[in-house]
Amino acid sequence: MKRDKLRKAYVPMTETAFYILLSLLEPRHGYGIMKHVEELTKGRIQLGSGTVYGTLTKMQRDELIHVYSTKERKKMYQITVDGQHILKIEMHRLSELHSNAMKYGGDLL
Amino acid sequence: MIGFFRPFWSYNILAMESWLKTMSEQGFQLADFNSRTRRFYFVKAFHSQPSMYRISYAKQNVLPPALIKDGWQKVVHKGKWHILQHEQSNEIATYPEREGVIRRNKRLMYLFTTLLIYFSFALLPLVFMFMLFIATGEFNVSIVGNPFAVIIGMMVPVLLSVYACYSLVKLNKANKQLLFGKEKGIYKWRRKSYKKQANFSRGKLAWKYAPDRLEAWLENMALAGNELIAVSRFGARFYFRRTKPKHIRYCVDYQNHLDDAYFDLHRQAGWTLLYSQTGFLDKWSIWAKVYEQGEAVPQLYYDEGHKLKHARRVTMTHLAFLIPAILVYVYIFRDFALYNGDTFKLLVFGIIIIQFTAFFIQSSLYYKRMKKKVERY
Repeated sequence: MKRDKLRKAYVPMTETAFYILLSLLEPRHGYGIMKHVEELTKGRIQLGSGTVYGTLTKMQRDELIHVYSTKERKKMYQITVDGQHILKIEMHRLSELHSNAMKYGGDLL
Repeated sequence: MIGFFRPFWSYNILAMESWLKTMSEQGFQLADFNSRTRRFYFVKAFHSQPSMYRISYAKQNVLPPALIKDGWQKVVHKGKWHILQHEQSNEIATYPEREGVIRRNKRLMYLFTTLLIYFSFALLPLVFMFMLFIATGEFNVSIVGNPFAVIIGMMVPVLLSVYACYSLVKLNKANKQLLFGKEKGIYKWRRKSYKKQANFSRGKLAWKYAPDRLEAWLENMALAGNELIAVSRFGARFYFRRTKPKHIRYCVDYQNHLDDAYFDLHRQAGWTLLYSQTGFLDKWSIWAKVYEQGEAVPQLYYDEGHKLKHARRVTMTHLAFLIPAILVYVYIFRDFALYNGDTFKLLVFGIIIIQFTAFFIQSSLYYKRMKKKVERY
């Protein structure tokens, strides 16, 4: 029931939300996420710190991510089981997208 | 097993945590607690380990893996309350979050504020009576009906109001302690020390209704060689220093929920905080970032979705306050106009209505501008 609701709210995901959730397969702090996504996309996607803060707050409220803090009171984020579930659904969707694109439009490349 | 009664324990989580720690140092380990009777039960352990405790409030029942790995374990779990314990066998590297408790406190504060507003109307006649008594020294009130019931009926709102006031003070203090650590300190220091270095200052009122206009004004000031270095406490006066012309991007940000992580993240991303208001309802920040000509203009929100969402949040917050206020004032104005032709009163209420309507129009126009801007890209 709860997962159905989450699926409706998050799938299909925006590119920023997808990359933020993907980078949280490992624990990271907010700025770490920004840097990681920039590296992954070779600078194509630049995340604003306001966007990251807003997305994290929302994902935390929907329990897609865990939050804890370090000794230095730095906030750390990590994906939850529900978050992994949503990420998996989105990855299936993307892989279908990719395979169809290759099958029917591969000649264009 | 011994039990302790802690009626208002949830109002001060930090004190509770240190109390649990002290108890464990004396050999008493927390075994259970009853959230309804507010009793905490302890067992005397023979070789008890002095432990660290953290209280969290969350729907989620699962601890973050990083906390479990670090040695945290759940002792008691009642409803959404979780009491976690760390035996301090290794140095503690991670801590459970406070977010849930902070949000719960905030919800309670909204509730108590509503209660207080309601009772202040209910108690108004009582206050008038008391003032009359003070002024005239006469107390000739005839009670209709059962006097006992009337007294009880008056006592209940009085006691509930006292309870609401006590709770509000306690919760506000608790949230301030839980939310803001070093970041607020850095900001306060900056405001006070930079204000003295200013060459001149300019007054600016009601910029919250059109934050994009404030951004544009500040950016043009920077291009003309006037850099903003501080803003007065209530955001009405802007302090500038003369420098060489600079490209500075200013972002005026509004949030419903703010914590240390917010300031930390923006600061790490290279932004400087020039103004911060972290009141109960109003949470505004002004951020600045210098960039070179030809470089992409830095933004807090690059994607259109978040840009628009932010604009909508600003406008909706204003309208939620302005619309009821305008309606109430129009109603009062109409009442005065019909039954009580006092020109002074009419003038005052007329000006208020015009001013609030102007804010209403400004707010709506701001949203329209932002929408147009986003659609253009």
